[in-house]
Amino acid sequence: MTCLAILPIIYFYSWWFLGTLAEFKEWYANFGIVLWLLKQVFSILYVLILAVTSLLLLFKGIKHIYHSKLTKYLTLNFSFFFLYVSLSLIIGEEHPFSIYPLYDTIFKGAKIYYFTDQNSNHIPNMTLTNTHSQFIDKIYKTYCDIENTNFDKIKKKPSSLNKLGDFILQNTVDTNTIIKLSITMLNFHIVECYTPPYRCDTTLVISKMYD
Amino acid sequence: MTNFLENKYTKLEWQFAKTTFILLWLLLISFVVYEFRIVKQEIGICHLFNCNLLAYNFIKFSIIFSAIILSILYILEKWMLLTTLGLSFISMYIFSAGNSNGIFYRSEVLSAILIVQFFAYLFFYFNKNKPTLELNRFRYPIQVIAAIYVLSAIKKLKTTGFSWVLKNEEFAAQAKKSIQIEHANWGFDILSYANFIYETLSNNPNFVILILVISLLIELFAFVMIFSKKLTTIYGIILLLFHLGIFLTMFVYVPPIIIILITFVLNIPYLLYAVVKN
Repeated sequence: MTCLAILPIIYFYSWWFLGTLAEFKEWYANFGIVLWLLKQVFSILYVLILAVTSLLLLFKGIKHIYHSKLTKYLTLNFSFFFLYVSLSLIIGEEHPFSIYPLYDTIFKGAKIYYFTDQNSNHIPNMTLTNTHSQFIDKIYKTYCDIENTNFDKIKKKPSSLNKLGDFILQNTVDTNTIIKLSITMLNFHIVECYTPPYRCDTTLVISKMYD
Repeated sequence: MTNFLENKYTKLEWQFAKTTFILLWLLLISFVVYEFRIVKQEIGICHLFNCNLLAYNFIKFSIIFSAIILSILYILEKWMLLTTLGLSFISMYIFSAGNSNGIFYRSEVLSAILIVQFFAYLFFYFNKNKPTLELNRFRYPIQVIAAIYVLSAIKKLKTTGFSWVLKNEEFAAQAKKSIQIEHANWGFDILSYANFIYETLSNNPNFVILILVISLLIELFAFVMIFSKKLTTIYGIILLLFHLGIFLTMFVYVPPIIIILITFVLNIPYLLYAVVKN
């Protein structure tokens, strides 16, 4: 019924329905004002009927969906699933919400950080710094933000490499651990990996002597 | 079919799942607190509370002590509304502090599980329906677990699109890099294994594409596990194999994911108990 009722409106839309008082006066010289007033009342009533009918239909639809078995099942079993998915997509990476960006971009280059001693023996990050490569990466990124630089620029100058190395050692390595491990010289390396094909370049960032 | 879609948990199942969960959670938060350094960039609840307080030994011990007390109450099922609320807060505070240091354990799911359990007890507080509580305190965590896999799949499709499954060359590089990082972190003698994995994956591109398609489908359809207890178990085994595959190819393991799989999804401690008892 509503669809059928819309048809005359579409037909008269450009012509009668939107006609101004001046146009009505021009079209109907004797009773333009009366016709215009009737048209206005009719239009308002028509829009009101249309709005009420649409709202009733919408309400009935929502009521039907709400009382359906499927809705009850979904509300009972999927409420927190939908809530967590929606809130995580809206809020993003704010604990306890997350969009779990696990390998969403598989590989776009990487930096691996590692240490060696005076005999070029590898010292695991967990043994020396009690933390992971990811934490050292965070320190590296903090340095780049402070100095407004990147590794390509840093690599060009030995003094810049030393400055970066000092910053990372200060924030990760504990002197007591150095003594405990009998380290006299500590080397810090950054390995840059690219693809395709997979290849890595190693840069010695700093060699620091300890007495 | 009715039996297949049945959802019923015994008190013993709940006891085993929650006890294992909270003990592993305690272990993980203790590790995060032990590793804690000064926060560089606030994330989550650290926007509201000063997470740098966790650098003080007194605060560290107080929080861990409170967590132990609340965990005991949680195991004994005492004052669950307040207990789950307190545990949720401690979980959010400690893991937010850890995340703020750039070390992402993907621990969001653990805090979310405690929060939804709080809601299960809150609903029970207003409507004293014991069977509903017994179901909800188990099923709400399952819903959150399913959500994290679906979110991960959505993120992949949003960032890379369906071409994600065609990144076989990048996947081989990712596997090698991940193993190299574990070598740098722990010093394990695994560099020759990294080369072997890289060579194998590079020489079998179609196999890698198949693996990636299956992985994406497993994540995308994780909501299936919500339908019933039996489907949760079946999907749990699929997820366990999925994570085993990730570990063997990349040496990547996510402790919170292991915790949720062995507790709320598969309830391995209860299964072991049932096997021993029979």
